[in-house]
Amino acid sequence: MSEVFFFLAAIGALAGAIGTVALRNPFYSVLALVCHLLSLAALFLLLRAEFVAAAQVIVYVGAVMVLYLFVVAYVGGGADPITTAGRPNLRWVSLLFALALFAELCVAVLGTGLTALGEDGTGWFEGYGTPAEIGRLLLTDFLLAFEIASMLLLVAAVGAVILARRRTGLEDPREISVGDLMRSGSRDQLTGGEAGTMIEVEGPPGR
Amino acid sequence: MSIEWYLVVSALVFSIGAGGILIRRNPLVILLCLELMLNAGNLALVAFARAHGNQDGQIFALIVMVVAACEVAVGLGLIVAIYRRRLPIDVDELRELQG
Amino acid sequence: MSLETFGWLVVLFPLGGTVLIALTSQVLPSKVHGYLGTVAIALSFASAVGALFALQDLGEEERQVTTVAWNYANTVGVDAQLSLLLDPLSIFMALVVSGVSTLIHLYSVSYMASDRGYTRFFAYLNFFVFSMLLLVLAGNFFFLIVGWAFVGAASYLLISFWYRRETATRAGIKAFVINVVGDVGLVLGTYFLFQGTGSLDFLQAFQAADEFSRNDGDLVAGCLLLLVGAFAKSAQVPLHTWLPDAMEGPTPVSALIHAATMVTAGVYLIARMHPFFEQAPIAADVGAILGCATLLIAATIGLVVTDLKRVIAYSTMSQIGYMIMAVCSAAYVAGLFHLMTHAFFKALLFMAAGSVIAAMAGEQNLDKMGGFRRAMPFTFGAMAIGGLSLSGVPPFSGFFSKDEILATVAARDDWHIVLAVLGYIGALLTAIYTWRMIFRAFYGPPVEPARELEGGHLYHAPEHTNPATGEVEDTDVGFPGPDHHIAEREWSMKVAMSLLAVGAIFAGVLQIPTVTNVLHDFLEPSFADSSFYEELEPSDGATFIGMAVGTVIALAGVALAYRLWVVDGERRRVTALRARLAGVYTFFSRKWYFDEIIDALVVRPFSMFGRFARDVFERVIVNGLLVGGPSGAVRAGSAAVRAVQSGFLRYYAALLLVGVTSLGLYFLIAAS
Repeated sequence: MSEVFFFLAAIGALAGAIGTVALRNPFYSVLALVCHLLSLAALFLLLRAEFVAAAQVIVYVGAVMVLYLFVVAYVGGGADPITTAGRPNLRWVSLLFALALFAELCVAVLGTGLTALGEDGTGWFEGYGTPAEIGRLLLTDFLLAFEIASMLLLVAAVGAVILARRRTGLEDPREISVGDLMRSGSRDQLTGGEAGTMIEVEGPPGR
Repeated sequence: MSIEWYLVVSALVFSIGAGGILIRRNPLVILLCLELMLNAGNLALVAFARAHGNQDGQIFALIVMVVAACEVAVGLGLIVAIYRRRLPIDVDELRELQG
Repeated sequence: MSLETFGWLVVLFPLGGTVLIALTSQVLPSKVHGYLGTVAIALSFASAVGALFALQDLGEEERQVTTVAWNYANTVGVDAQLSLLLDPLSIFMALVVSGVSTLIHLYSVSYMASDRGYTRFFAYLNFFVFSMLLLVLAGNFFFLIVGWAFVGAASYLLISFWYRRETATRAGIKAFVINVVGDVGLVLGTYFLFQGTGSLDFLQAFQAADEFSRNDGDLVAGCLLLLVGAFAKSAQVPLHTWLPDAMEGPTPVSALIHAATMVTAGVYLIARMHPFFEQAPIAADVGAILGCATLLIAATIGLVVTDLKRVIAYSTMSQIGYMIMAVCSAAYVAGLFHLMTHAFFKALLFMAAGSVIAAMAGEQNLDKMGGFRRAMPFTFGAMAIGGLSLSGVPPFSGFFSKDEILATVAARDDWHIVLAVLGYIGALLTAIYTWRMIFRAFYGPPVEPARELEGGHLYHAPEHTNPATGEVEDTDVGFPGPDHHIAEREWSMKVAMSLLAVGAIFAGVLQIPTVTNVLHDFLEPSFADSSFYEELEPSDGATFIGMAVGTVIALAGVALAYRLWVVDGERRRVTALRARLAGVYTFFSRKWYFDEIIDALVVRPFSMFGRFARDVFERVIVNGLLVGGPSGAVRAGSAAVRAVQSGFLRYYAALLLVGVTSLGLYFLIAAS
């Protein structure tokens, strides 16, 4: 049975990954990534990592991806054409090297001398991967990492606020506030594009 | 399933993410591809944890998740700031750090 | 006081004079500096006299004393010490140098009185005397070279004393460059000799001179190089072209440096190095021949030049030729005797010439002079005495010294007799050009300055000009002063000239043939190791014949000059002669084209090389290749590397990916 679940989850993860890369609309890319993350959570479960799976769903999908969705909705960004004129066209190069990287990694994994990789995994004990065990480890063996990670979160939060804050007043006429955006009736203030929902705003031409 | 399968999946997802970074021009999507790579790493970590029979890999994966969250927060803040400045959301246009 | 103390005092007094004048140059009035300088040299002369007496007190065998003040280095076989050698030869030279210098200082006190650079003049003059005394009293090669170089520097400073005159500065540079050539010769010659003898000290080196085989290659090379040095300093052919130009300096400078002292340094050098020259007769013969050639060349040029001081300059060159011929033919006493008498009468001639030039308000051209006899009797008398001595008319000193040279050279019974005959011809020419100069300046109808002077008023030119080029000058620092001083009006000039005249007349008594032999006996300890000193003496018969011939020649020359330039008032015969021998005349008046030849052979190639170095080598190779090459390569490399930083994020990511893949590949391969 687990093989079936494994293949389902794997296909879901791969589909999500390819979707993230290939879909034009960034919104759809985000959604594809959500799908990928959920499949990954399933894979974690198959690997007996209960807490990690839960954290993946709650934190990653639930918080990070939602944050992404908000920003994509605000910023948008249109579909960018793949074919670029005068820009470095890296389509085939990237394909090639991505394939090369994959090949190398496979060779490394499959040709390795680590025999344990050929089995299902060893040493499962009662309570493996449970929150209790994870919590115990976090507060004893890995306390330092835990604390530093929290510090990092603080720093990131502060940094993000500073980066994205609106300067006092609107000295720079190029800056537009969300309020203006919502309130806008004057189209010439914004882009000459069509007014509409925020989701479809293409963003300012920015020159 | 032996651990190798998980590792192969992880490698594949990682390569897809790497290729995606090179192809896409929207910085948001590039960040998404970055997330892909990070998650591939997470998968590999958890798989190895299962292989070894201890939970160090899982802890590592949790910390990676924290780091990814922070990075996303900062990166998105940056993109919002860029958008506010009315600059194009296109990494090919944003190349002042040159020379 | 001991001999050593006197010896050091001789050198230290002029040095002290220079330093004192320099330090108080702003503080004391300039007149004081003049007297200060003169007193310093007078004290030096007094010390030289004291040294003479102290030397004579020593026994005959011990009359070569080396006194060491400081031992610089005694390593690697090189003994460099601050040492003086006090022996008859050096004391003799010191006496001549300091004595004549004292008188010239006295002369300059009035002559340079209105010059704004008066103080500087005396400082330089004292410095020169110091370096000349250092040169003659030096006890080893090292000190000799130091003195030699200082003398060259002092000469440069004094020739371009009026430094705002372009002609003067050019002349100074020319003199210095040729001097440097001589310096190089001297140093290289020292090297060769040092190699063979192993010592820089004179006495030790002389003792080791016998270790060279006769006409040994190294020895000949060393002696020839020493000759190069001597010829450059003494203005002999072919390194003589600086001497006429050096007349750009003030007249006292010409009198001191280019008549009495510096140009005799070469003669002193050869006399001092006689042990080496006697072991290398080839070099000595070369020197003698070139000295004889100079003698004749200079005499012929002196016949046609029109600048008063330049006539005397060429006369100096010619007389030094006699001296060089003498010391290179081992007639040491004769050469040094002539050195002394020449110092007297040549300085006297220059001083008188200075007086005439002052009367002409700076004009030096003989064509513009005439009839000064009544206006300047004292100057005329001095010039006549000097001229008679120079021509070799008995009983003046020049007669005895020149005849001794020619008789002794002839006494070397091989081909040297040719040199003696040429010397007599040169004596005839000497008499002619000397009296040509005197008759043209003092006889004939008086020119305007002479007439004014007869009326008691010193002539002043309407505006001050450079006599050579006619450029207008002001009389501030760097140019001659506004006033001119003639001997008749300045007591110090009269005193100096009178004392020199006494010497020019009476110095001959020192070496009257068969009667007195004072100099010969005095100098014996210095030349004790010479194989020629005792034996080389002309027989009495030859001596008297020589004296008779010399007298006849001298008087004939004077008479001829009288006929051509006094009796023939309009100078018809001279003009006719000049027209008939126009080619010869041009050849002589262009100074035998030496300047042109040296310009073509040496100056042009060097300046071409310099231009090549600047345009091609410096610009293309050094700047372009050696400097531009690496810098251009670095710049190109940086430009190439800079292209990596394009700013495209995806490029960077691509690089990362490629890098990671390659690394992975490498490790995979390495691990398999």
